[in-house]
Amino acid sequence: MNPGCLDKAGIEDALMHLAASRDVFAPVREGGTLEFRRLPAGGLVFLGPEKTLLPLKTLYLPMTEDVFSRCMKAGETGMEIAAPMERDRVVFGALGCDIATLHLLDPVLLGEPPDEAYRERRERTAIVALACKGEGPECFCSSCDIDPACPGGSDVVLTDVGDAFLFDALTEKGSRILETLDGRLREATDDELATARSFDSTAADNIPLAKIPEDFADLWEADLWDDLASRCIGCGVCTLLCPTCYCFDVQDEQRGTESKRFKTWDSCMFSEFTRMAGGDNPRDTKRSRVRQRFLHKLQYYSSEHGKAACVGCGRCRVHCPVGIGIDEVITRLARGKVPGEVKGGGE
Amino acid sequence: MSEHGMPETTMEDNLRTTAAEFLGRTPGACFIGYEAAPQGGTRPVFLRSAGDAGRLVWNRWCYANLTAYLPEMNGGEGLIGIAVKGCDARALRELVRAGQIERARLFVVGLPCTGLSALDGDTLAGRCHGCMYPEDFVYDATLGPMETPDLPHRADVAVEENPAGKTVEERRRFWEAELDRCIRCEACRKICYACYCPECIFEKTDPRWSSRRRDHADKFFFHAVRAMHLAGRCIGCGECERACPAGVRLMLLNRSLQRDVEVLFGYRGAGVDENVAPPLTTVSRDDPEFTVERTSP
Repeated sequence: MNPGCLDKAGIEDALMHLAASRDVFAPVREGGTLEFRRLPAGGLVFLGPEKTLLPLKTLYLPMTEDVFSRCMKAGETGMEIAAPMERDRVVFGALGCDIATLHLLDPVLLGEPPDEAYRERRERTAIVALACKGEGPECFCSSCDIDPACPGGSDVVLTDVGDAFLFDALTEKGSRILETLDGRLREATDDELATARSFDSTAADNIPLAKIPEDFADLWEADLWDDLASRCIGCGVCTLLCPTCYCFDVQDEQRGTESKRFKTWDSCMFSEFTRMAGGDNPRDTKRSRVRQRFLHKLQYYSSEHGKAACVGCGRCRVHCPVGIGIDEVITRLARGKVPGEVKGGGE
Repeated sequence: MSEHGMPETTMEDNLRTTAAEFLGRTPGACFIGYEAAPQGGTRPVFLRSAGDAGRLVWNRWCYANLTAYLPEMNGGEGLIGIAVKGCDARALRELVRAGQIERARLFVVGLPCTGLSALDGDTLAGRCHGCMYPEDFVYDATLGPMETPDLPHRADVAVEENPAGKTVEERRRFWEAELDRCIRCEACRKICYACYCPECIFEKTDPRWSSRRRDHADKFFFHAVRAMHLAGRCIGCGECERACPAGVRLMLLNRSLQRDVEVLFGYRGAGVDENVAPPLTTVSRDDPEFTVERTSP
């Protein structure tokens, strides 16, 4: 299907039209934060190159998600498996960094046995990406082999061409969305097509992700970990906001005669993350937890799956209350010999 | 120029010299101060060698309350140099009082702060409204006179000006919307100087006092417990609010409780007076609700 244009003034109406036949999610500004919300939502839909606070992964691996519930009332005992979704979904305005994440989550969550809820959400969700230049001061997606101007893995790419968005379908799923919107889309002008073609990334491409030594033993005792642990407060903001972190906990809770099993995000930065039932904790220092977080992303994941689990979105560096950014860590690890830093009070 | 007439750069030079001298004469010591963060602003830094003192900075973006690092260093070896603003000195006084760090291990450098900059501009940071330096606090070195600067007072602690609203229903709705954004990272408690329990009840897994479902009830429970545990102990440094990635207005809760303690106990604030401990950490036989005698055999 040929690319079509939709004037910005008509976007909300088009989204609501789509929402009649499927669940539509888009970044919505409400109460000071930008988050993906199902439409219609209370705040204003925002389609622009600004990252949501919580990454796209929330729509695939929700912060808290029921697995099943059980009723234990006499005569009414039973178990109900939670359904991950009812209608097909379309996500509008996802950025290249966030979409690239899904390709990093897939090998983990779709391996045998697959996470069925994740699999269903992956299969039944169409992604309408927003072309982005990666202009944020925190952006380094271009260093992670991501082209934010034409995000791979999306079904439709929207490009801001001034007063309108150019809709370009990349897949069959994407073509169906354009068909649903037919009648609202007009033909793009030559100027608009030229604007879209010249759209290019300006994100930092000099973060040496590929230069991290392959032998992790070299990095295991690096002073870098002491330096980071001394200032890290272990809050886990970096992990919860990280699009590529996927660790969750499974818990059971009983209220009255009903009990639920649910999954909920966990964080390797939390001290209880590795605590055994008997009390032992194999990662009982901040130093060991900080090291785990970075080596998992930058070394263990890449040796297993061929590339590092970082998409250069920069959320960790923006939101870390004590100024730790993964870009700095990558740069320092890539130097091989991590410069001798001080040992702090992090233990 | 600072309000004390001393250019900030000279203060920064003095800070570096002071820290270098301290580290030079006390082998095995560390100095906790601020350095420039690669992404702009400042961040905490732990120095061990006099040669690194040049990394230290002192400016209107030195937000971190560095005393929050002290409890985890308690019981360890070596002297600790630490840079503190007036508000942080109040925290330090309470940590020493609570046995969370030995005063004798510390080399305390006072930073004469005349107010931090708001995160999003050049105006005065909200946390600095109502600034109060500790009386009679003894520093080991200072970069200038450690006196409470003349800064605006707080207005929003009064119920009638509380942005959360006047009625209980309004406030419930306000907090529901605020806490809807909370992701239970608990950065607010982890950055707090006064949260020094070796194991927070929110980290306990047996018994698990609070669900990890992150629903509204859990969030209300977490924030209510956190705020109540800080009643009379919060120094108003505002670090919890800065650390919150979702911008939850935690200081509204904290200030409201500090005001209650002020009104109920005639208490001026944590760490303000060497001789007055936070009311909820003390017990008195004159207390009208003193119950120890009644319940003892």
